[in-house]
Amino acid sequence: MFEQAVSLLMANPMSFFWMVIGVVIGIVFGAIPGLSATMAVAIFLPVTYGLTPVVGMACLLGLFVGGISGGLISAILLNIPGTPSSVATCFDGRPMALNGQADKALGGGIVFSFLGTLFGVVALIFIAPFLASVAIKFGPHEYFAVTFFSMSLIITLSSENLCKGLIAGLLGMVFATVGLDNIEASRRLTLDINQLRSGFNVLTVLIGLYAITEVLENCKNVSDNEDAELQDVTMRGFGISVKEGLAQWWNGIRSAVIGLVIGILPGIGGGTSNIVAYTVAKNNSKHPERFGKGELAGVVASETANNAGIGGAMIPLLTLGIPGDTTTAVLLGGLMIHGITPGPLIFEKHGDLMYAIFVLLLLSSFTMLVVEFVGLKGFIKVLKVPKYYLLPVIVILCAVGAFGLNSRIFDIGSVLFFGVVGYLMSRCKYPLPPMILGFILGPILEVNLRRGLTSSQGNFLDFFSRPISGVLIGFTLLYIVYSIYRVMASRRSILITE
Amino acid sequence: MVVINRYKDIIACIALLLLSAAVYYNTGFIRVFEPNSASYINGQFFPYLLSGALCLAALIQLFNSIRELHRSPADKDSVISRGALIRIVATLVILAIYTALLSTFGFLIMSMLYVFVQVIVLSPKGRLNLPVAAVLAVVSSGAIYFLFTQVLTMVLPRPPFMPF
Repeated sequence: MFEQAVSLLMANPMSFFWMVIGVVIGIVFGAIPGLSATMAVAIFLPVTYGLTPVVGMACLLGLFVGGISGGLISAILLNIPGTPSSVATCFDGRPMALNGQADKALGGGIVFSFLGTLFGVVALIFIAPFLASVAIKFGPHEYFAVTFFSMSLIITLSSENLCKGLIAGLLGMVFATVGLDNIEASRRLTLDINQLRSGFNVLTVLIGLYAITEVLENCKNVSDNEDAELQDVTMRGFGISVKEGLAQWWNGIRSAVIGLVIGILPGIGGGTSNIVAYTVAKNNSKHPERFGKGELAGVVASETANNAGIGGAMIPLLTLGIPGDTTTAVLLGGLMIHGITPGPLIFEKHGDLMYAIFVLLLLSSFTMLVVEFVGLKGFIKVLKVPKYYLLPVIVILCAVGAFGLNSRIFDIGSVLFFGVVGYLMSRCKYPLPPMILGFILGPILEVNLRRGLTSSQGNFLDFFSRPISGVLIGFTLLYIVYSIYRVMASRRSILITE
Repeated sequence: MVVINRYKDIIACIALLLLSAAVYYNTGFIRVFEPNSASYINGQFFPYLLSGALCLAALIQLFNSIRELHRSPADKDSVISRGALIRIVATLVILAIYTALLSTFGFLIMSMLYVFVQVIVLSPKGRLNLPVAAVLAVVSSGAIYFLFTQVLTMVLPRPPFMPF
């Protein structure tokens, strides 16, 4: 199959060009605080409309890999994580930079980002086809159970407030209900607006919630990063010696496994894995007291874990059609725009493209390594560009993206609407990821629930009598009860303290 | 001068309750495939389920918000400066005008105007540089228009008086 994938790539040589462009832009988006890999993929999705599927995916995968890795630059040099995936990189990366070891922190971070991505992609290559062969036996009951499990994880883990997470998820599902019913094709909640017959597109929701919300957030805190204290970094070689790199082998492997496993679980991607890997590295270190004061192991743990999650998040996306995080949710949109529906049959229907995606991910990680080392000075300069110049340009790119979907100005209006919704939600501290995943998973949940109930004459107990769905739903219910108990226990302890 | 809204959580919950009621009301108008069938699994099933769940979750959150209101003072996120409020409203108005006039004046002209005005709104005091804003508006809008229409062969809104 790899031969066919290579032939496909050779027949589309522009893939390599767009992949490099994607990696460079992704790193820029990752490095600038407030912009993220998700936003990069969402905004540049329209660029792929006119490209062939493989060339389009090359661009999007480059953006994904670059966007996750780019966050380390501002984390180390500004003490502001470019993306949530690099929060733990600040803990030791910034102290290292202040100790005059910025080159070592950046070099170590970039090398282990690369190794983490490589680990995740290799795991993806081996796990995805196997999981697809298992998932091919899934019926509506099993699909409902997996989606229900995913939604529960997203809601409980993405917010401190369980209730707000649930509301955000439900809101996403309500917006996904607008349009034609997937089974009976009747109009639902369209308020007699013709443009709403096809419902809201996932891209308009994503662009609105991320990009427009970010612009409105910036209105609140107008700041100028022209004066940001950015030190000049002179990199010799990889910044770290071979001995220093080899000393981190176990830390790297452990963090990569943590990143991969957390990446596979829906809803919790690099934003969580980097902190978990950092904590594990600190707890298992012979010198935990050095952490937080400039320890290379801290940077290695964080950067390996968040990049290993890239391959992890792609596993449920490709094999089940269930995105692991918000970035893979946009990638799902990208695949569907090009007529590819992820799921268990994807290896049979689009095997060459799937293996081309694996090859492109591997190539993107190599490109990321080279581009970050060669272009580091350039990326540092980009950090100095004020956001009040960048954001308006991003908004017009969003408008192009929304308009390009159906050539309707109505979609640009939808972006604006979701931008306002997103801003109001973030003002009231409602998390956005459950809303996005609710929007994407809602229709999958509904269709499989209705199909399952129809096949069992309306008897919901059938969902429990099948082994896979029964175990998954039972586990999910136990997990929900445990989460509620945990919230109530912590609330009680706060009350006792007060 | 600052604007403090300690009741934003409660207002949000009331809005959510109204939304759940609206969803419930509108679900009644969804045409079902077999209206006389005894089966409840039809196009109305899931929206009814969602409106009920949303109503319940909003009520729990409303209860929590009222309890929090009496217990803790307003957090710093409740505070927003009047200048920021003006910038937010101005940005929304600019975006609405941009969207509304896009079909009349086309993408290129409206984008240039939008970028220029948005930079003015977002620039901090003393940092506004009008020539830079103007150059950015023309170059960025022109480059994006050229990339998408000429290189990627996408159709963007174009006014009748523009030949390309």
